[in-house]
Amino acid sequence: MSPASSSARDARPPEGSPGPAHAGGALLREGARVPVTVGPASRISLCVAFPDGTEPQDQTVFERLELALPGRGPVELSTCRYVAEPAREGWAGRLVFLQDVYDLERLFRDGTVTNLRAFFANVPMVLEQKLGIRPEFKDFVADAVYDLSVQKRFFDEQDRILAQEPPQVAEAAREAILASEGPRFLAFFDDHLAKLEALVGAWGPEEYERHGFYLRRMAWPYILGSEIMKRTNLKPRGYAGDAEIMRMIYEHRYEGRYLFNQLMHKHPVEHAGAQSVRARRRMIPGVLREVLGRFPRTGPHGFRILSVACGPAWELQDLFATADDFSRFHCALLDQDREALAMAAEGIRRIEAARGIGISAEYVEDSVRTMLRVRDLGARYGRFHFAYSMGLFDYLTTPVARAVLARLWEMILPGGTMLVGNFNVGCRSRTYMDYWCDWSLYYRTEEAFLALADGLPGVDASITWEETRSQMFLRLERAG
Amino acid sequence: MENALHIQLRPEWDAIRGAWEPCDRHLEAHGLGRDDAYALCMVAQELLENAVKYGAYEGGQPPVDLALEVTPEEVTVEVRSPVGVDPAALGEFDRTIQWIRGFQDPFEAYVDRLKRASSRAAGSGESGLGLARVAYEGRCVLDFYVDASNTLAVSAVRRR
Repeated sequence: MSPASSSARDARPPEGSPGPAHAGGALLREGARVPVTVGPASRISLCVAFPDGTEPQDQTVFERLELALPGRGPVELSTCRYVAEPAREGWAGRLVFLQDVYDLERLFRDGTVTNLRAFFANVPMVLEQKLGIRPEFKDFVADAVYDLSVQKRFFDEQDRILAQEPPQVAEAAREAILASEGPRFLAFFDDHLAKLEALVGAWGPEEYERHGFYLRRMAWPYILGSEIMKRTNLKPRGYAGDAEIMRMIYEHRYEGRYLFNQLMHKHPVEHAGAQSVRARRRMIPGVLREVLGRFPRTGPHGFRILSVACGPAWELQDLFATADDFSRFHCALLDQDREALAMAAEGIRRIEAARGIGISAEYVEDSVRTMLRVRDLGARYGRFHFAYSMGLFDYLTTPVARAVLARLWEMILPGGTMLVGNFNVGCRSRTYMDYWCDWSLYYRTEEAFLALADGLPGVDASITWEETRSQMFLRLERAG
Repeated sequence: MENALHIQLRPEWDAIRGAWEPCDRHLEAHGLGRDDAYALCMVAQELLENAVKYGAYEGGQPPVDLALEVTPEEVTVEVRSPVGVDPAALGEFDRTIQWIRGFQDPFEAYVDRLKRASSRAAGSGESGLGLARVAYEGRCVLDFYVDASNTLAVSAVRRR
């Protein structure tokens, strides 16, 4: 049987494509209709068979392709060329589109006609963004990019020299360069940030945001060079402050292959915002001990701890200090991100392995925004002596923060404590996080943060700070 | 003067269009300029349209709740509507809100949604542009929660 007359009935769609494997239709040329069966060959091309055996000549151009997709109705695609591929099993060849770039895998997956070429229709709008940029900011960014390129070149030269050396020699030299030249670079970047803050600090929200976009477009290669900034900008988990970012902040070390990139990573993990994340981790065990002192007679695993939006929960390493803690504590870890919970579980396994004692823990995969649907959270998840949430309220607007706080408060036992963190409007890393990291938070004043607790029944609310004064902590005590 | 406006609306297109005028008056009365007031009225309309489109109503009940609160620091538009019980749809909504919130400049989210909208054939489905428009043209931070009575409360907060 020649390919031209072969049937497409046995053709399979690409892996991962649950849609129909093929569809019937017709190619049109000079008023003639050539019946076809087509299926996705790649994302932007179709494989084609000719059920009645009328295979056209290789490279024939057709004016259009009409398709009848099951459940989708008629679809018309523009000019295409037939490319004979005799070796393609079950098909005669391929159709390549000449005027448009269709997402054909998607067409067969969900019936949507997506023209990838239309993406470019938005290019002028993005280009025009630069028209709204202040000249002094353009000058500032041009200088910064020039300075960074010079710095990078000097460090890259060192990398090239070290590449010729044995690994242990190169490693020692790399450490020496980072120790000697690293602080100078970090100071240079501090100076850049101080100037940036002075320039944009007083702007209104719209102008502030627009200039952040401009800086990131201009500095994009340098952003991608930094492991942490690359991740906060690309957001592979859908949000900036994911568990992997927390790991980078907690580990607080050089990451990346090249010297310049290592420094571009180290600078943000040294900054005030990152310091405050490490500081809050140290703070939690201290508050826990205070609360624990109020409940001297809880039974085995009777002292209940809840971490909301737990992330990798590294602070647990510090919570479980004594053998008594292992027998008394029960931890509930809640996060919307399965990967974060997996990292938290791995951390618990490491603590257990190191101490040879099991930890009583449960994991809840849910978003706080939707878990409030549960009418009685206490009945579903239990009630707690100590609950804390460190990286959540920075993302909640006031109405949502109030609702979440009120519902979490229902789960606090008499005599119990809740501790909630939020970055303050005066955080020194704010512009850095906004402009370079594309990591926007909901910063609050002390008064606005405290006001979230207004109206909670039986609450004694106060605010504390960590040492960098980047973050505040709302401490809620329930009378015993 | 009350700084919060509360309106209950029938979940119908005509009814929600009628909310524009009182919102505009309320914003003007609290000192917002024409452009800001227009943008926030647009935000209220977008959220109300979503509430009508996706809310779970029976015989036109319950009504959609609109609250518009103006403080010296921020303006909050909150729309409350009954939500269905599809956790997957809520999860998708959650991810969309967080995705839009993930951009320091909501222009980026807006452009991405425009790309998706313009690359689809007319009538081929939801573009998802409305929420990005709230963030970009309305300069609002979006957020939401679902309460124990299965009410979806979507808020858009614009800092002044």
